[in-house]
Amino acid sequence: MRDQKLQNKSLLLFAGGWLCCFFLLFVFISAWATEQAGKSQFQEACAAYSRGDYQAAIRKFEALTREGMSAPLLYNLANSYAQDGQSGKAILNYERALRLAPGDSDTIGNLELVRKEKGIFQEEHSFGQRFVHLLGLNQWLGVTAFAFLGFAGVLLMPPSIPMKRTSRYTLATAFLLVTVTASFGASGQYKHWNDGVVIAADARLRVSPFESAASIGSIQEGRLLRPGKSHNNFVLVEDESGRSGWLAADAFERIAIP
Amino acid sequence: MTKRRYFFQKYSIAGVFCFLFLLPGLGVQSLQAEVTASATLNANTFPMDRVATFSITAQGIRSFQPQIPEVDGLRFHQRGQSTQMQLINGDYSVSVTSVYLVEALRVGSFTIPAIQIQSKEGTTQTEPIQFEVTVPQTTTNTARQQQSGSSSTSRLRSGEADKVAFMRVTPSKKKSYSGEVVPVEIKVYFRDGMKVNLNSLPQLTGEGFVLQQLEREPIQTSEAINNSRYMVLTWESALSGIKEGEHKLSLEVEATLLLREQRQRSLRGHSMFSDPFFGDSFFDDFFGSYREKDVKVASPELAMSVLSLPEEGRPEGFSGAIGDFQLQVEADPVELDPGDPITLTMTVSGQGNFDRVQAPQLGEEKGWKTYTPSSEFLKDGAKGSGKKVFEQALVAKDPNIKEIPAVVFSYFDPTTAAYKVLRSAPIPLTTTREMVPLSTEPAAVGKEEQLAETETPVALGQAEMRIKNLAPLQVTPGDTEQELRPLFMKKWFQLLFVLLLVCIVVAGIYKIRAARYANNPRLQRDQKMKNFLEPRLRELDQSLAAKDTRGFLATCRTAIQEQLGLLWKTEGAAITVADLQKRLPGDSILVKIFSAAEESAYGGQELSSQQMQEFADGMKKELDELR
Repeated sequence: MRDQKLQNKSLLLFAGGWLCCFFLLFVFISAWATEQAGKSQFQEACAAYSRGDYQAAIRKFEALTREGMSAPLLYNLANSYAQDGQSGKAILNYERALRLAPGDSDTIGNLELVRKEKGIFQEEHSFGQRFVHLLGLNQWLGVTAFAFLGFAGVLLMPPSIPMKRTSRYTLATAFLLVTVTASFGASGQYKHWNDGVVIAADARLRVSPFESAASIGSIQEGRLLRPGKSHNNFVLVEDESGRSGWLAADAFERIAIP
Repeated sequence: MTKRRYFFQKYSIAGVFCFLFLLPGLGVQSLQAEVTASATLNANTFPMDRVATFSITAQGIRSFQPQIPEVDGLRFHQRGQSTQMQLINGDYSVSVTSVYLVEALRVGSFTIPAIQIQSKEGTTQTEPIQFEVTVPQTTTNTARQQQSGSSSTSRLRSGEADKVAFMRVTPSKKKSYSGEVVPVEIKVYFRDGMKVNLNSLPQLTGEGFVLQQLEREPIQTSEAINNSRYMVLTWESALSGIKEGEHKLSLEVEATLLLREQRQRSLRGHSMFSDPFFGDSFFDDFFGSYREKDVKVASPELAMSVLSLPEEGRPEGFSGAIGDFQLQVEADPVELDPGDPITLTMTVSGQGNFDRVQAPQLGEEKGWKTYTPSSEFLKDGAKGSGKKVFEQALVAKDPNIKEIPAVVFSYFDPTTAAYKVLRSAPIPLTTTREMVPLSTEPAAVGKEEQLAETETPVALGQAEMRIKNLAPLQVTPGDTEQELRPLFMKKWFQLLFVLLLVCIVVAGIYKIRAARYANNPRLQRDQKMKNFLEPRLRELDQSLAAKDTRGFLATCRTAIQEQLGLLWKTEGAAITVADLQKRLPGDSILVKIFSAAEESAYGGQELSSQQMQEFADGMKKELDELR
């Protein structure tokens, strides 16, 4: 009787083990298949771009971004929009790609090229602005966190570790300086985190949030802006020159995707 | 470790915590003060041949530049801006008023929309204003009637003889074209020695002209007229005709005169012109008391004509510029790669109505991609003189272009009553590489060349949209993310941050305790005593369990020596019964135990378990008390 029970238990364990293995295998194969399908669709989109069918490339790249975003994917999508003449969408996606890969030279180069081609000349950045743009927000945050960790570590270092008092405080001061500087960079970058890009070709700023409201002037497709409060499908925005007005909500898109 | 060092370390650690908690607060914007704004129009209805005064008043800000919206059928002319500051019962308030003349170009109902006002102090907006513009009237002069009805203020109009105050307005000419800038000199005279407060800048009354904004500070001089000396305030400004026809204009300025009254005379019942202050006799009584008199000093009426610009010979692209202008054009760079933008700097200088001067045009735009120019006006001394600098970006689309074509600017010269066209010389260009037409450029493929080479060819329309020299596509999709969010909004980063925070707090507390211990000899001694006592107590328990009296008493003696040695800062082993008897009270159990231990060592004294327990408890208690 006891042998029978033991035998049943062993069988159950054996079957359970196999089931687990099958489940893991199934999950792995599903993930692999999804990845392969994604790669295949990515290659198809690249092929469409290569033969000049930019509309098809845009559709395919856009479909892929709904599954997940990566810097190369957004970059390719931006290239497709640029070649299709949709400078606003192109600039939007280059900016998004830069959020994921801030120093990417291809993205920076193409973004500059599209801006130049469309006559979107930006004002020269001040030294502070150039400094803030050296790194992306996440990089600045990483530097801040590590420098702060170093600062705390040096100050809280146990006395058993041999280090001269002056060396310890010099090192702590250096870490603190890096922390403050990187916080300044992160703060500067975060100010622009919610910026948007005009994607409509004939966008107009209005004095109040109504279709019938008087126009303050047009705002060029591809221009960066800072959105504020919204009302009636209109958003109060401020452009790079400091001009502000109400812009139709569908005339621009935010760079950040929550 | 010194006390100073201890404090430095302590505050350094406290600084870490302060910084840690202040860190999330970085980048928080300062709160802005609330401001309010209102807009008023001096008439709800006015005829088309009149203008209305539109005022925007913003409370709580020091300056602002309202963005006047485009309203179809209306034209706004800025008249000036004034600032009022008040200090009432310690409450300081400031308001700024911007005044515009509203000229209607057609009959009908109009709405001036809400105007947003932005300043360093905050943002607000006015309410929309609705009004009617009726058909033109001819001769009525409502404004003047309204002014003549103001009873409390005396009006002083020149004739100058024997006046205490008068005004002279001298335009450079009396006939001008619509939109032309006519320099005008405005002089206000006050009898020398008078005390005067100026309450306003000179204001234009009458229709058909607008007066350019005046300087807040006039030039102050002194002149002798009819053997009397006058203090003279002078403004250099310009009039600009906005309605064709004959117009009568006057300027007036509000002032308060501080007048010395005659003691003997009553002013009651005197008319304005029989008032003694208008005659020299007024100044006779040196000891008279003072009173304030609000006056409006007005100029004699001026007859001015506004002529229409001739239709004949009007050049294409004429923007309404009237005056005498010169054109200068520069381009940079002139040596360029294909597709490089060129900045064309066009400077229109001279004298005239620069508000109507618009950017000169390229004589031939074919083959060029042009962008909206920016402009900047630089004043140069006299009213209406200066230069307007336009900067325009150009990109050559045609590969065969070798020069920037002539730039054309047209204006009306009122001296010769003829239109003039200025044309700059073409600017030659040098291309460093051969230009390739955009439409024939092959697709920018590089890394992706291996992909789908047999697919259908590019449609021509799409090829024309292409941007040259784009870096090629990426060939691998890379690791994907579901969202574009900053690191600090991600859960794993927040968790890591909290963990780090906890570690730092724990380490900090430990460090503070260690620092406190290192700087407190009593704590160190207590800790040391505790450390010595614990193993001795264990040994005592073992001896007690084994009923080993000798071992028990020997341990008691060692424990007492160690503890008292630390307490008395002396070598423990050197402490004897005599020391104990000398320094401890006579009934101390420690003396009793120590004596018993001495005896046991030499005489083999035996103790019962109960005695040993009593000794152990008594020793612990007394050592605790001694600490």
